[in-house]
Amino acid sequence: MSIFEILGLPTDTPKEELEKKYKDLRYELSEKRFLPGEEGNAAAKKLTELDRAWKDYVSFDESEKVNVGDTDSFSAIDEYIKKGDLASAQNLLDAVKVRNAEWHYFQAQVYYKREWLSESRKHLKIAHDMEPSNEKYKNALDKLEMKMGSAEVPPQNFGNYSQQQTQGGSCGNMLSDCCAAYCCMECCYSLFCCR
Amino acid sequence: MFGYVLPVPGELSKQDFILYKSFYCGICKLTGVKYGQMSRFAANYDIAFMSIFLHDILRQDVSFCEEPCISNPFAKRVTVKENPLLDKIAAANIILCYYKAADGVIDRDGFKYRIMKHSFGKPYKKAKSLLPEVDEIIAEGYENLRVAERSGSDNIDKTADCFAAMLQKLFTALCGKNDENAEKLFYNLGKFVYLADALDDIDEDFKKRRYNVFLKSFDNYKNRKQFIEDNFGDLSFCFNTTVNRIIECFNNLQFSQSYSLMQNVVFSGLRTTVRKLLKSDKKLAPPKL
Repeated sequence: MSIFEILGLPTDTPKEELEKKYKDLRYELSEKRFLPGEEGNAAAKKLTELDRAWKDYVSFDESEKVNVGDTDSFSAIDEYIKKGDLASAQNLLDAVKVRNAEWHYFQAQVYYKREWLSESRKHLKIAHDMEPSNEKYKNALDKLEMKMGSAEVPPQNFGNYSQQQTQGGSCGNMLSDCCAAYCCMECCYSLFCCR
Repeated sequence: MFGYVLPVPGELSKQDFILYKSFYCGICKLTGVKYGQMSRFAANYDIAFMSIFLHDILRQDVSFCEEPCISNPFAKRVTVKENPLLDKIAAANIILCYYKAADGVIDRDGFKYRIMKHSFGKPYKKAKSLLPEVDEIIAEGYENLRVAERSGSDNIDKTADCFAAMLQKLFTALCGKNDENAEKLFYNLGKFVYLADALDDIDEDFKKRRYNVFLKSFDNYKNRKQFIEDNFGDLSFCFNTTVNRIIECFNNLQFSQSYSLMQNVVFSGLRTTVRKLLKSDKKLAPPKL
């Protein structure tokens, strides 16, 4: 449970007001936990929950502050990915504290480049779940699943197949030089040394 | 390696089929001559594909001859003659087999791996002296794999990365030049072989309580059929993406003489193996071509 749910306050409550309510409730529960029987147990339990929720709230609040420059770090990560420097991109990703949808999207890209496609898919799914309306995440996930993850897509649709057709298409078999020899061999098993 | 990278013979022209066999026979023959007859069973279909790929991409001149086969001395077979590249591939294959056997001795029970390791002892030393850098790559690859397996890793990509990176480095060492598409192709080929082997061994690993990345990753094994059905989406995604990346890299490369043969393996053979693996309710029989 979040601190807002425990205190029964809306999520846009200012920090000062939240802190005051938290302290009041904490005082009340601290007193109650020494009561005998179930009442005391319940208060002690509630107190632990309250402290955990408050701690989460405070650490989240701080990490938000640390990551004011996230847009900058994402563009730096993007640069590293484009340059192919995946180790630096990963280092920057690891340093980011708030892992929002965009973070998962960039992590998915790094994994993709490392050929870790199952991991890449996991992060794209998280990004898509966090922001279902984001077309970029949805398209990337769809493409990964429907094209790269499919056994039905014709092999010719991957990479630069046409280049193979124009340049490599004329390739025969290196045995074709000795095709005649091969035919004879088939007939009479005579000895041939090709080339 | 293990025999999951195969052509589909029904879709191969007769010439390509002979060409394929000639590379297989070339490795087998050369291994016999250089490392003793006992080492010949090191030859396998995966290394035959690797050999075809390397000969083509390096435009290595290949000559053929007809020789009788040890398994059938009366029928002569077209065989690739020895060349410096084939020497290296045969040596690398011996090193691979030695480490595979050593790995088997460490975490699999059985007499088979002990005998295998013992019989590869001498050939391994000879191969290592020829290719010390390859020995280092493979030793490191298997060491990384052991660390990942001991830690009980449940991350499919991360565990397979050890074997995949090893094959990529092996390719670079044998090829002697950097080509991103070829490297990524070999990375995914290594990943494919590792994962195909893991899925194929799953029942045995479950019964003998051995490490298997799929058992760690999906915690719902009862039997092979049920396991594959329950995790079909994730398993097929994992194999399909690996195969499709191989296809993509293959399409970005330029080949010459063996293009149609390799196209058969890459476009049809790998997907056929995936279909068989995901359909079978028991371990696949060793391939016979």
